[in-house]
Amino acid sequence: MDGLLLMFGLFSVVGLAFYGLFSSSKPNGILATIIAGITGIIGTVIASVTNTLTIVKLSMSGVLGYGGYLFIAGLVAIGLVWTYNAVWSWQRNRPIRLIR
Amino acid sequence: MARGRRRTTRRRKKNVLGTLWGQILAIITLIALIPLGVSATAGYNVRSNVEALEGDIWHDYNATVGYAYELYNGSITKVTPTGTLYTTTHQNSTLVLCLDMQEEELNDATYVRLKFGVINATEVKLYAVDGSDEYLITSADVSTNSTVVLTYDAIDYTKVMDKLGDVDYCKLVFTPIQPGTHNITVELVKPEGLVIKHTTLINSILYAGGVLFILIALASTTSWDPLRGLI
Repeated sequence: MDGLLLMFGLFSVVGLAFYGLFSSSKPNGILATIIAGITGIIGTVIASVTNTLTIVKLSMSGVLGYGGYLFIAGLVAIGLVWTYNAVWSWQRNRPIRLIR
Repeated sequence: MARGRRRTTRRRKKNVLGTLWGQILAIITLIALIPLGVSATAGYNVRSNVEALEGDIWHDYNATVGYAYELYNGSITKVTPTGTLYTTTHQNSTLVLCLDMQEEELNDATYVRLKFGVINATEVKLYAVDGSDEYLITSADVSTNSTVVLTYDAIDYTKVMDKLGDVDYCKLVFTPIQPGTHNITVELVKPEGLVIKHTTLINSILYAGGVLFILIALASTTSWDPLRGLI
């Protein structure tokens, strides 16, 4: 269950970050929740289909040793950055250009 | 003349582009590169050339039944083999052979080679068992005078550990088996050449993935950008 929540949370936050970055108007809370939920579910399903979820669960339970712990540490680091980006882009409220 | 002089404010800009590409790279790594890397390395030990291992291969199911039994309508009947010959007495029953294979053996890529003489069954399945729980590892068709090697890769191993957490023993299940004497030679084998533990194979990718994620996370901050040259 922890692995499922981690993956869902990761992909929800990245959905939020992208929505905040690309929205040209003031971010809408309901729309943001929907986008976060959809990206969370899609990401979790992809992770499940590609065995990533199994590996995450085993890493969290310690079965895969230090490599697993490092992998989880990397995911948590990415999650923190994505969360920071989501908050940052939400607060700035401006669209961006991919190429500038 | 101060007229027309525009006041400018300098805001500290975050490296949005680096951040965004960092996220995209992280997503691609997470949903594509990690699974691809795991799949590519997971099959390393699965080789057709195998060599037999020494030692006893049987696990006593319990003191009464022993390692071989026939399962029919929920009742268990002990089967005492004579060499490689196993005799069953019921139609469409199940013959079960218990193997001395725990998680260590599974992690070491210990496979099962079956050499059949005369046998009247259709399919054999290899299960991992933990208490009352069991997980199907792999299966194969059965035919007289044939040989099969039941193999599995590192992903199969991780799935077993995910579902069971611990493996007491493994068992071979022959279904449906008909009354008669069946000639089955069971060997525990290992792949020829260098065998790497399944956990080590998975770990090699996890180490790389973990380091990459941390680098991307650091690169997505403004203070340090080691991946700048890459993106």
